[in-house]
Amino acid sequence: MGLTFTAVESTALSTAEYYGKALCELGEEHPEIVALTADLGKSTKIGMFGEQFPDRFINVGIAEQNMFGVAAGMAKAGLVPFLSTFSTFASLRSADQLHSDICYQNINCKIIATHSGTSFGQAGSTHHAICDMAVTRALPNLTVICPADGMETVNAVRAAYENPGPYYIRINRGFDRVVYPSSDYEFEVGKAITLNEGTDITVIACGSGVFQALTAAKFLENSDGLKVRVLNMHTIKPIDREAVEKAISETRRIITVEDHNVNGGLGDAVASVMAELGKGCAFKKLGLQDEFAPIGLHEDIMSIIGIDSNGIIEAVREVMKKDFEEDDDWEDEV
Amino acid sequence: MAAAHYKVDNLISFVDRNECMIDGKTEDVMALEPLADKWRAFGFIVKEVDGHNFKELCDAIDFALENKGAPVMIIANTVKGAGVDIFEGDYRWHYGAMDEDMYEKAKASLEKYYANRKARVEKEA
Repeated sequence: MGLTFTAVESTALSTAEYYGKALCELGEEHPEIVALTADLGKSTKIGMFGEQFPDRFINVGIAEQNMFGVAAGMAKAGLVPFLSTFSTFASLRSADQLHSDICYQNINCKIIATHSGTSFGQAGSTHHAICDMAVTRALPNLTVICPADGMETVNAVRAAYENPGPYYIRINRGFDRVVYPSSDYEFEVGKAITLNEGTDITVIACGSGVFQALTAAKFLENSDGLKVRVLNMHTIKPIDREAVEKAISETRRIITVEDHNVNGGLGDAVASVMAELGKGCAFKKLGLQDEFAPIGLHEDIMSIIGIDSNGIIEAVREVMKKDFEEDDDWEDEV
Repeated sequence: MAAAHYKVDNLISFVDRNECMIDGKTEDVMALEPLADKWRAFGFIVKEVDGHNFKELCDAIDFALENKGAPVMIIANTVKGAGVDIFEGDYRWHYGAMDEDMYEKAKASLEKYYANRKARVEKEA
């Protein structure tokens, strides 16, 4: 459905601007879509919808908890509310309303949370979202998506409208490095995308980590002769168990990359699948190691905490060195 | 609510009332007025002052220190970006970066602003 966004624009628009455009397009087709923000219309770009459809836009002021309550009521009345604020506010400040008014009611609210991870690096830890995936992963009924770039954001926003139930989509502030030059590719909620085939090790990434993982994989192929499988795990919940299990069985070495605390996010989602599978695997989680991020530009923070391509390359080399007994007869283990 | 209930009279609070939020003027986006009455309804004693006037601020703090039995809220009415004429009162400057030209203009404006303030204070003294 809708227009295909192309690479020409992808260098000119921020990820949030893609969201704004995609939402306006959906709004033209579907009059039941309404938009809400808490004094962040301009920053999250949901204000683009407000300019086009002023009578379908509500700015509740700096009152996130109220925004979730108001949206829940609108959803109960048959509207499809899209809510936007910063990821840290959406997941923490209004966590109780998200839990009780939206997830418990299992209603059709779409939370598009911007400035995720450390993408608003210079604003400091009050504006970094380093545990939003941990919170939202633990909420029943909620689907959690972390798109790799602007094009994937477009597809995720469309998917959120097309599928009933509450959605939480975390996108970055500013410009993402381009993974997808066009929105015309197969995007399915809950289905990881293999961006690079590989048999030596698998890097499972989400959000800004995806581009970095791809860069690292290309480098490692040339310099170390390694075949690195790269999975874009855009859907954090429900996690693609099949893709994780396949990666464990076929490569026996896994690294996860997330712009988030390693506690409770993508890495732990993958680790759960691994533990339940009962098959041994060398494993490392990249992300914030249970600490607050420094203040600085996003790319600098990513480098410092080791989730840029250099950090991934280092981690791959480290995990490749791990020696463990290869068991040919896995079938009797579980 | 708790401050008034427990009669926390050594609590002195301030609102920097610059009338701005990120998306616009507070009274356009989500009106706060009547702000003083709202604080009074929560059991605070309210003092409204010019937030750019140190004497008024000091007098309000002295009043609050002597006050017994209830918390005090000092509403400091201010202008966002005071002294920098290209930013003054403009909510869009919640966050932003200056170029060289703006920096020079801002600096010149601030110097003028401080000279005026200094002259005013000396005259009052």
